[in-house]
Amino acid sequence: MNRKVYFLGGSIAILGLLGLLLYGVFYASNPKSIPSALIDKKASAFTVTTFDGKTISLEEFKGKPVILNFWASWCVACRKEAHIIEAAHQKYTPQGAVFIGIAINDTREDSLKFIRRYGKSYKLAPDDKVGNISLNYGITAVPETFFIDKEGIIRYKTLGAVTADSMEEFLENQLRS
Amino acid sequence: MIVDIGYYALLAAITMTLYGILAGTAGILKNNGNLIQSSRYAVLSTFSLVAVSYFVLTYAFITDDFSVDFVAGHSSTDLPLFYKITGVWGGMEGSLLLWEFILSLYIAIIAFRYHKSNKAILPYALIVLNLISFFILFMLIGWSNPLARLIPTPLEGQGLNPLLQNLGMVIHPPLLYLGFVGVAVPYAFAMGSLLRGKIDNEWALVTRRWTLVAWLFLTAGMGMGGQWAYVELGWGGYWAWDPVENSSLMPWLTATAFLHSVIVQEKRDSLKIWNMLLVTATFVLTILGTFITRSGVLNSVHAFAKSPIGPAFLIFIALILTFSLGLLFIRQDMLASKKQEAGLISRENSFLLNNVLFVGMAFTVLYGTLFPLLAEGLADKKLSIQAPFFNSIMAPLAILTIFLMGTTQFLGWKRTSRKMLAKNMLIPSTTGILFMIAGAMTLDVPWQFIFLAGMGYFAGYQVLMELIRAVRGGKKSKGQATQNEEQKQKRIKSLLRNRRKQGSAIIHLGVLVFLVGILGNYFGHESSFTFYPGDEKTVGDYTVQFEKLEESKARNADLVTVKLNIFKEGQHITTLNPAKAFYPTSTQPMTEVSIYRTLKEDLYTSVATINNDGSATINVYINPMVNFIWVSSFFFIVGTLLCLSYKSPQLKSGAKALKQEA
Repeated sequence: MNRKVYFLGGSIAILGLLGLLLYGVFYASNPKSIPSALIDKKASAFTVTTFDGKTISLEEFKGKPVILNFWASWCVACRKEAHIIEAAHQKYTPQGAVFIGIAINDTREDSLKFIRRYGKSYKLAPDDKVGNISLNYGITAVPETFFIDKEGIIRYKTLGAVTADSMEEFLENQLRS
Repeated sequence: MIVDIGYYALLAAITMTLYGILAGTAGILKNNGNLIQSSRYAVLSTFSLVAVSYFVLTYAFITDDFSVDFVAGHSSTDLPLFYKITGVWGGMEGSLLLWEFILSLYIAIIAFRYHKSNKAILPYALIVLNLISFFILFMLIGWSNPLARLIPTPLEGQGLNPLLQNLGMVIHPPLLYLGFVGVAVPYAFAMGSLLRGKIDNEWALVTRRWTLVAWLFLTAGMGMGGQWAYVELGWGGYWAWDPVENSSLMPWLTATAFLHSVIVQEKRDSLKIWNMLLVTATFVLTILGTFITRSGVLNSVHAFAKSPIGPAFLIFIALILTFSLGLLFIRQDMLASKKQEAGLISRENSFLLNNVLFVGMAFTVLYGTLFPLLAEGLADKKLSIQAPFFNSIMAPLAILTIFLMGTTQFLGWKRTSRKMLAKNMLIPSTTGILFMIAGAMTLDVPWQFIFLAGMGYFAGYQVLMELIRAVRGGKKSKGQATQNEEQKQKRIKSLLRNRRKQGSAIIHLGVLVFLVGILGNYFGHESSFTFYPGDEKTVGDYTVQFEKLEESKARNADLVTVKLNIFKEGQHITTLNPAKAFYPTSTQPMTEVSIYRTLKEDLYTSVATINNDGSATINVYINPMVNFIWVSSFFFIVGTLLCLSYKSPQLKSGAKALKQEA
């Protein structure tokens, strides 16, 4: 009798533990994502000159979803996501999406080497000397990626290498509506 | 081409494992010795096949075969050969292959080492081990395939994380895996004996030895990990209560509990269900640890990304728990312990309390580790649990544990005579209390320090006395000044015969050495400052002079070194060279620390930043007694080896002797 109670108690505790782990795997938020005050706020405007000499500003892409990525040639995770962003760019830019990569804390030479090495072909620009763009976006580490909707509002932000799935989900949604 | 051979070898290995399970089961059901024999040989072929696959992956690393996704992600052409070989366990998929490699090696050893001495249990234990192996292989051929191809093939790999390019990190994972995987063996024997349905203490003997082996590797692995964190991460410490560190500590704690409580089973024939539970818990905790490390549900420095392997491991954990507890529930009557009276102050109760404490510590660590999930699930709050939580709960538990360490060996089974107790406790406890009072009056430290130090003194006295008594041999008879030759030999013989006991005393001594290292933390000192070449700063007894910045090339990295001259009492004692290492084109700068080590304290320096104006910001830590932490490992290793070298007479002559004895 007594022992049955112990086993029952143990089983309940174990079910609780498994439930918690289940929750962790499927429902809990990514432990690496840090809540940002910028979500659901208007993306701060900027104008930059790309590495190939064109001037672009965020304003001109109003009406298109924008993936805004902050990267640097010295960052490990940026190498990991380089192919992923390039592949997404190849697929979604023809459908009307915009990909912008801002290099921060980097020398022009290293950035260019990185771009060549990974065959990046979307809109790539260095931040200005002071790093105003990254300051306005509250960048704490590279890479960070902002998902900006057609109205120019930041909908989502990731820290660390961005995944193909997250971009796909966001862009499919935006481009369909 | 070669890569495909590796993958096919994995496919063949999983087939052989499946065959082993089926042949073993059929052999048991039909009582057919040939089938059981055949399942034993299947295990051998599984091991060879996994070995082939392991060496294929190593070959792919050495030949820079970036068509293999895992190699492209964890190596590059400029990586030194040594790190290419060790890069195999530099990531999730490869380390799982190493895991399976070790597991299949263990299974092969078991199948041939115990087929005579543990004939009855072995077939059952092999089935359990094969089931575990089957699961890992299933992961390897699917969701966590280390030989998966990458198309198109890149010209250059992403490189091995520079943090892993360190000798400590090369040794740490295999040691830890040897320990983690080793825990599966005791579990298999425990479950095997339950499956068999006839239980004697045979399983406990094998289990105890293998738990010792696993414990040794776990201890050494954690020590190595701490050493790595200390010299590589540059924050001046070695343990951060990180979820992944915790997941290696939890099975260590329950294994330690088991190693103590199994003595009670051996001597007093009780605590049998409890021991089964401990073995199961230890095994489940290793799998849970793997789950925590690989599923990415908790934030950790040991960054593995969130991966599909998480749910699979969760199912595995659920299956193990259901299987083990269900089996235990069905078989509980077989584990009935003899009702035995034991007085309040007895060795039995001391061991019991010891177990409560160790399990309590394991639970604390588990609770703290999973609390962020709990907080988010129940209260939708994001938070993390840091060192203060763990320290505040672990310290009192540790104080009690160390007290027991100094007490238990002087307690008798069943009951303890007051005379004995008074004789052995009087001196150490009175001087211990005086020591604590003196400490509390003179030192400005928290109460935990006073108690830890006091208990450490008390236990140290007892353990040393025990060792001295053992070396001296029994009491000399009165009036006899010297011992003759015969007595001397007797003494040596008894010393050898009792080496299991002396081994544990040495391990306990190691715990105390370790404790000294921890207590040193209370006197630690850290500071951080920015200065220019030529500047001097004073830190504790040391004067740190910034000589110059130096750029150099080393291995596959560019170094910017801050040259520091260290003075103590006006004397130039050493030059330290903390640096930032830049790994070409690939990675963020790494911190290379530089340490001036003495037994009393370490002067530990690391570079925070090198600024554009030629100044440098450095962190300086003074870590008193920290080397005791590393020294304690030697005690653990020597002590455990002594324990292992002793074979109980039962184990030597196998099951037969055991039956005769019964």
